[in-house]
Amino acid sequence: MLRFLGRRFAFMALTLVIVSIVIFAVTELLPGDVAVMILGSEATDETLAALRTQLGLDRPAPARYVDWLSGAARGDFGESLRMRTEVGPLVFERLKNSLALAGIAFAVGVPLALGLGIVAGLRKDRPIDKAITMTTLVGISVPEFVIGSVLIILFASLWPILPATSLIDPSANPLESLKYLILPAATLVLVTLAHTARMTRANVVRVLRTDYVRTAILKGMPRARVILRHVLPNALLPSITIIAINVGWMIGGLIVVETVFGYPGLGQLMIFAVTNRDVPLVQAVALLVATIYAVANLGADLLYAALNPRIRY
Amino acid sequence: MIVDATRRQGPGGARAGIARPAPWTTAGIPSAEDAVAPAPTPRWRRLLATTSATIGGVILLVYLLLAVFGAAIAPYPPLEFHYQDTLQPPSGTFLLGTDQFGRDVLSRILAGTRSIILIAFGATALGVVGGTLVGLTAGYYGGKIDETIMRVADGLMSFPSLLLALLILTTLGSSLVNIVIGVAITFVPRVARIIRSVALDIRTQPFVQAAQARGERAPYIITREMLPNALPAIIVESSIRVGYAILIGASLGFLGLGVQPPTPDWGLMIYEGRSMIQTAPWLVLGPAVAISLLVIAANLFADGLSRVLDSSERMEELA
Repeated sequence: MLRFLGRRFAFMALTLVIVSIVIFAVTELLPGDVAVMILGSEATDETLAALRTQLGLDRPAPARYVDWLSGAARGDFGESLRMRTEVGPLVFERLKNSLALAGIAFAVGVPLALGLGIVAGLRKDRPIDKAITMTTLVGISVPEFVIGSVLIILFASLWPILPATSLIDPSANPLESLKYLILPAATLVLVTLAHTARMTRANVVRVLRTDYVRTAILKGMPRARVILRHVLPNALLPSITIIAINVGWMIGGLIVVETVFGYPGLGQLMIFAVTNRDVPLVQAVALLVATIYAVANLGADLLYAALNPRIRY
Repeated sequence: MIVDATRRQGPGGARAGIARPAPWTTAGIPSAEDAVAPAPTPRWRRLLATTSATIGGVILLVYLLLAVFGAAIAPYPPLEFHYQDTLQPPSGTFLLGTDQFGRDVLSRILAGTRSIILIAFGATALGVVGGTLVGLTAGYYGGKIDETIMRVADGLMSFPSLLLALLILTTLGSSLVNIVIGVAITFVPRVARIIRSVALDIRTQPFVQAAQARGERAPYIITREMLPNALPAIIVESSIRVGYAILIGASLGFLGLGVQPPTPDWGLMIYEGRSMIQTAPWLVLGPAVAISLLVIAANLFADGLSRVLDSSERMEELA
């Protein structure tokens, strides 16, 4: 087990190194460097050169990468080019908002998705399964920004009970203005719910076909007991991995949903950084998000290994 | 394309056109024939028998036609302003209403088909070709090469797709072609992982060993021996990728990183209509239905295709 833990942590560290190299390399390839971005294209060569020396841009890329990464490890991501503030505090403030939104969506969405998936799987090919399967097909097919827009039309225009935008003060505690969170969270729930429910259904169907379930039924075990003792433990185990993948969808979903509702989270900050080519900000958000995703995957793997006695490396 | 895949399945594939033997003749008796050509009925015919694939395929075809002829059959030029008729709700003159400049929404939707279809098929084609080559190479060589390729792929996959596409667009700048490239790059590691697992399987087949024994070189074995046998998996993977390409491409358009105004683009139309959503919901609903129906059709088609070509249920869907 210790060896497995060590391997898995080393693997995550390696992944994060590759991730950081990709982020650094991609933003390095930008035409025109940071000095040009700060001073504009009219700046003279001398002032550009002076600023480059000041920012350390005249040093070779590998050296700057090491500097950047060691700074990032300490939470120091440099200064935003457009906002003229420290990137670190800005990013962590937005992270808090995104986590509140994602947390609510997660807490509601995951149990709901597992429940729907189990019902559909157990009632395979019955009307309820067909209804759930068709609804979730629509769910995985409709982009987040469409779902969000439709929810706004339904619950902010036609039946105006909720605010259409979440233009709240970024530094306020998002949980205090809960009604602003309902529509964005509902959008995230609908998107991730569909994927998770479909995969859970597939798992339930797969386990129902196994020999040990057939044996249990044939030996006269009551159906409820078969389901609780044999089907669900085996069918829900892979859901741990699915939920980790969900974190990935959630991140992609957050970027879009926060833009739809004007919610001041990490996703909206990322779009701001990308459209304004704010390199330090892009690097910080991308690295933070990728780290969260890697940690979620690690957590899922460890939990999976802990709960599944067949997995021992 | 699909018929082609059947034919190239292997030595027995050429017999795909022959009528399927009555089920009772071979029932329960595994034979070499089964292993080589498990589907004596032409697969495209079984595909047509799958309702979901047929519905999805027909809708996809309509969208393809609209991508070619949409701008031509639009009732108005998509960029034409009608200053007397701004923000008109749907009516006989403007079937889906007009926007804040009096532009006809239906015409803009029709003209916008082209960009999303280009993203859907361009990004899929590019990403699948790249991913297939990488996956087959990794699967063929195995060992250190495989290990290195897959580690890099894992690194790329630890970005959620949309985030990686955003990073790439930060570098390349916003444009339609760059969206195609960006989405394709996010596809490469994901396709490579699927195709590699297929390649590992094919690699152990006797015909690959035979080719090695007669001294064929690696590029020949990869493209002539392994590629044709990986085709069913490649086709299924491509069909699944189309839906993702549309979703990511439309999202990038919505985020303002695709075609620039005033060129009609569905994602961009929804973004622009968002601020007027409470007074003029038709600005959002029209393109919203157009995108959703397209992705549903692509997913239905992919679903039917994978049921025909690939019996195993796909578990890993990727962020």
